[in-house]
Amino acid sequence: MKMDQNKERRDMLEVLPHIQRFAVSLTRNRADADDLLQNTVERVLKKGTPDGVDMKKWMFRVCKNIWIDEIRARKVRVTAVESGNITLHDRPEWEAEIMGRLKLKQVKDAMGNLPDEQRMVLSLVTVEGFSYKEAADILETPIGTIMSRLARARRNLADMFSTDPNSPPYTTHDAYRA
Amino acid sequence: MTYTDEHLSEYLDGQLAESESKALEAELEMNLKLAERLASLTEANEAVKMAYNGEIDVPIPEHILAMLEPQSGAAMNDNGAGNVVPLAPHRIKFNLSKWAAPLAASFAMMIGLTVGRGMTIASVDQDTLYAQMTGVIAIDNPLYEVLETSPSATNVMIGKENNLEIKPILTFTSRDGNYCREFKTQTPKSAARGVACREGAVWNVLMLNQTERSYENGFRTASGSSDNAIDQFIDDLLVGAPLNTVDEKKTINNQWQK
Repeated sequence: MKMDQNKERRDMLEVLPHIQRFAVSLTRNRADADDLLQNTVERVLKKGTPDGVDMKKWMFRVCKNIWIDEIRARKVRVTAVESGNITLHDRPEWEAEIMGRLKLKQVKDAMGNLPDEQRMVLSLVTVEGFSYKEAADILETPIGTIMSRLARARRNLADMFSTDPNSPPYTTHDAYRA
Repeated sequence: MTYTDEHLSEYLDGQLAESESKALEAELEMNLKLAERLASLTEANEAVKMAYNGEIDVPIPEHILAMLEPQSGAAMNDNGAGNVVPLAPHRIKFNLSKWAAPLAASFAMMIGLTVGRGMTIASVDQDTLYAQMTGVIAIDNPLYEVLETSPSATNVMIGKENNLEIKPILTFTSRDGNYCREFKTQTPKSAARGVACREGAVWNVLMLNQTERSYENGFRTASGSSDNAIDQFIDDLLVGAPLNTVDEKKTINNQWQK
């Protein structure tokens, strides 16, 4: 299928900041995020974009696949994944106040402690605003899996943010009977 | 009915059916534990959203942008053929819509270029777009519209292809008694941060700091003052606390009248 190459590039440019943010959420390391972003761009340029496919979803999927391939290639998911190594863009103080008791580093560290599958779906739905269906398409996963991973990710984060040391972990009370 | 974190999570994303949402809301009024649980999941969710908000403003590395430079003389490519043309280091040109045209024209006028009002601009390079942007903003400039009507922390995408983004950051009162706003503008290759004050019925950009990627050194200040100088400028200009979202909304609705 022929495609306007320059249009493809313009479409990619538009999506790029979102892919970069996704890459940062996956790698938690600026250098690795740059590599992941570059590899994503290279692969899309090389393989092209299937006709009629939404560029944004396509690039997220390619990015996700490269990240997973990289993990598989490394065999062990190295803790290159060193927490605390990424500097999220500085937020103004007033915005930090909006975050209330939760500090940026706390959130960053908590995200870093989530399993990759949960972090990916949380990043796609919560940060990027994809619907469950879109996230399922990108991750090539059933929608039910998306829902359960999302719930587990939020539960894990809520547990990590819990300030009451005496409260039992929420994982023990999974259901609330009416 | 038994509710799980999955139900609450779907509710949080607005993915529950309306009838299910109503049933859950009724239960939330009666069940404190459930309500607390929803609050903690919501807090976790919002914290993540906010923590990554700023990432969208981080400029893309120059070497990656260079990979997406438009190709001259090779408009069509065969998908899947791996036909990647070597990259040319010329500037990216953007096609800008009618919204971007007055913005670009306004910037161009500030740096002394002659661009007639209403003239259709097919493409504008980054330098023109982010040229020294100081002084009174024309009323037909999208920046004026954004400063006049958009709440802080709202991204306003400009241009048919959303290549320009303007975001008010903070609203405060100056020592002169004027309302002032810190704002950011961004294109895929560069970003700017500035301060504008509403003087009478006009917005006057008092300070602007532009950053862009250089091939050698990553970020560099392209024009204007440094970020620290802008912080200092705001500190010196500001009286009292910045407006909170409620007061800011009232002020915008009141068209910036005291």
